[in-house]
Amino acid sequence: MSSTEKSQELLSELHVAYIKSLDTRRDDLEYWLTEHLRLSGVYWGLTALDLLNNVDALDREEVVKYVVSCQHENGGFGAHLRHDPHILYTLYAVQILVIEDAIDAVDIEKIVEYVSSLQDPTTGSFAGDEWGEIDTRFSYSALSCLSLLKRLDAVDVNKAIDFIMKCKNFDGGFGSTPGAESHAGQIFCCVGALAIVNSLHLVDADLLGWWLCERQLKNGGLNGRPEKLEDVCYSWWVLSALSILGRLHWINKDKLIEFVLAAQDPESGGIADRPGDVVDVFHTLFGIAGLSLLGYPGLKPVDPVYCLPKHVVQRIGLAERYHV
Amino acid sequence: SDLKRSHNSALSLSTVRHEFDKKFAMHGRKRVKPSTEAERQRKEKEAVKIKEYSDLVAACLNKKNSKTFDTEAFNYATKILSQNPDFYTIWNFRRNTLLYGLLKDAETDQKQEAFSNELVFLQALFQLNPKSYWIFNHRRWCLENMPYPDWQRELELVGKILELDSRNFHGWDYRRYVTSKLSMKIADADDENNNNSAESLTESEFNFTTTKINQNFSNYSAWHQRSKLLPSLFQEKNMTEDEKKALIDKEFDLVKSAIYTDPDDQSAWLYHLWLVGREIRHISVLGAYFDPKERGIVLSFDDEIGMISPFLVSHGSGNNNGKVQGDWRPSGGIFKHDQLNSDRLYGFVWIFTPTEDISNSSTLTVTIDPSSIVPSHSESHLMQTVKKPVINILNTDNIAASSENYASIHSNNVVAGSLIVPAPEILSTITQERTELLKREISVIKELLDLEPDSKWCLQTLVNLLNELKYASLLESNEANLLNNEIVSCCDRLIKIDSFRITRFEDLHLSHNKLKSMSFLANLINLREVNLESNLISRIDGIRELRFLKEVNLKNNLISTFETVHDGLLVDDKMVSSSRGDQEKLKIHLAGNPIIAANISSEFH
Repeated sequence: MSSTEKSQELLSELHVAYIKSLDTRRDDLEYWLTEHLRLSGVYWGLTALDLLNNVDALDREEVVKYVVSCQHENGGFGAHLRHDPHILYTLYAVQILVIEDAIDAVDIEKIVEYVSSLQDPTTGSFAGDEWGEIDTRFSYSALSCLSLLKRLDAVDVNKAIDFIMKCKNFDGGFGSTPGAESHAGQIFCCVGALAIVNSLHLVDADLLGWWLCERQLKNGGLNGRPEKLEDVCYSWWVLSALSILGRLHWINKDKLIEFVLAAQDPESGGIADRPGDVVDVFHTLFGIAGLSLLGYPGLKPVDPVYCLPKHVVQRIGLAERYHV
Repeated sequence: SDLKRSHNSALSLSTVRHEFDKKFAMHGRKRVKPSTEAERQRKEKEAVKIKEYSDLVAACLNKKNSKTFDTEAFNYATKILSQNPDFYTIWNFRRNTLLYGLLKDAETDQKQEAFSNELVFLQALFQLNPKSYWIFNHRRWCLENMPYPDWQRELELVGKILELDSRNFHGWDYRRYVTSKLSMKIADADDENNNNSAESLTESEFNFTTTKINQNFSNYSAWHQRSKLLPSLFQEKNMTEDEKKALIDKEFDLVKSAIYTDPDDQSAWLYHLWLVGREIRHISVLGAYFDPKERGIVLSFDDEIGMISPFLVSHGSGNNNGKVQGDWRPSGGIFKHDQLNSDRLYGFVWIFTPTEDISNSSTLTVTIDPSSIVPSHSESHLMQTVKKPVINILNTDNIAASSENYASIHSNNVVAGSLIVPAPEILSTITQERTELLKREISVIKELLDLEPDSKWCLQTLVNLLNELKYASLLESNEANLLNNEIVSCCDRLIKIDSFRITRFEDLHLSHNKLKSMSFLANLINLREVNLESNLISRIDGIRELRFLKEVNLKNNLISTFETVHDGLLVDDKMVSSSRGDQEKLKIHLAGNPIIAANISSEFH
């Protein structure tokens, strides 16, 4: 098969092999320079594998053991052994354990304590860690994490919503902090967070849906904000937000599928940010998750709010919080 | 000093980092298939670097774990971060090394020098990593901890950053941070001239966005920033309505230049729509009465609403008396799977069943808090500026319904864009002014459309403005109908021009009207009149059993047949039912419906 023919379909087996090979690249300097992405990489890889019906390709016990080793005394998780705790990695840890159905392997109360300690009681915002960076990404991380643990009671949800709404912009989108420009990644975080706490009615679905569907460029790919390049990861951030808002049908699905498939590496597997570029596990997950949302055959359905396989979300007993 | 040496070595290492960065960024790297020999050589070179780097990290983390905050530790951190500025744990350690080690008992000028060197170090790193959160985080930390931070210099620095890349959101975020620090400093320093100084900062920032926009009309980030600064300007300068209007007119002029220069650029168009603003759609209570059989209150809206929190029901008139305990539920088993929130029920008609004895109350009152309602369309905004309707319902079997059976949740206010209260209103709330504004802008857009007939942004904006015009004016149904036709024809053109978004345009011509069916009225047994003008109703339905119904306004709908009201008598544009014996004849207004256009009247007598 020529490489152009190959890009018409999802090369599932190759992607599974690619993900399995990630931890074996210890003779690449890059492997060592990206230690701060280790736990994230496990989440991205594991979720992709589950969507590809191959969750067992990574050894469950090893995965759980690794995640547990990243937890600190204060309940938070770091990116890797000896990396400091941060809310982002705390969410990844919980997501991984939930997929592996092993949440009892860790101290849940401690996690709840850690996450809730990061909320500013005045503004409702969440910091990333003790150093105080504020960003709506962290609002999403907190609410998603606590929702998965069924402990949303531990934070002031109304204040959290207030802060998110302060980040709403003239175009219906959301930024990282009050005053910040709308960006698809932040929009996913804010819309996802609002969905989790039953407050999607605060979103201008028509206006934001319009802004989001205008992210689709002539080549079928999606960008993250006006005048930027298309990128497979935006195919997730934009798509999931559209899906939550019930407006997934506002983009051209076929062209987007074509774009994602063309970004695959037909020889070594994995998906890149755009056709012809170097692949990585981050774009591999978001490409596959995007395809799942678009109904690509052979993939497990993904939950657009939690970015986890739907069956996992259902297993925990969380209600569907988005437009069907 | 040790710190200086450490920084210098970092700077030379950063050129080495540059190569790594190009290779290892997660975006924009071309896939290359190197030969086996090239691969072998690469791995050989990297093996050395891997050993060096791992040893360095191990040494640094050992210092960290033993809480050894000395110069050696600091130097390790410098070397690591020069190669890998995303290693956030090392940034944390670096800060602790400064706080608890090197600057622990330092004099003020020592601290100032150390932090100044940090800023130089960060600047070098920034050149290679202009989009790293961690670098900006550390910079902020330095400025917040140094004895004499120079915020003015930071402002100049961020000006340069935005010159390199005017869309770098880290830059814009940092600029907002720096200007907020500057304005606090000005406020502190100069209490008397407080307003003036702080004002000028907002103004100068506003002018900065003007400069950016004039350099490049497609600078979305600048337009966005402007959307934040404009309301601040209004507030700070305590502008009169006329002054505001003058400033807004200047904004419209700026937008006009932008859209004429590049009609394909979305920034100016979205800013334009925000300037024009959107009228809040109101939801009306169609009817409310006490149903003796249900022994409960029946309430009907003209939108399928969700209830966030239950409406307050109280004894007597007004809502100062005791609350009536009971439960609300939507009637007709309306639980739609395609709602945004699957655990919230939606319905046109809501029934309240008291769980206590109400036989001693001759009147009950329902108070509807607008913020407790979720509309079915996000276009129908939640109305913060709305009056709370209080509905008095006679608790009696005698359905001599009062004229207070109808209440409307209205808003007269226009909120520009989707600014959430407490943002100040930008435009006046007078309807006529609004209509004039809309008509003026519609003609501007139409002029451009003549020049650029295939401009999709032009067409989309026109659709939005035409919809606003429909809502802004109290239009006779014919005018509304004409506007609807124009909207539909724009959507048809858009479907041809912008095929990716066909389904959105198809949704567009339906989404601005709410009702497609009137069958829910069947629940409102005491209904006397109802206004269903300008909806999408295609069948007259649900009113057969309503004994008290006198008048139905169905102007500007989609009714094309009379199949459900066979004994009707069509007189001009009204149909009058003759079958109700002693009761008053039912009048149904049908102007603006296809059936009138089709002139079917001759078939009836």
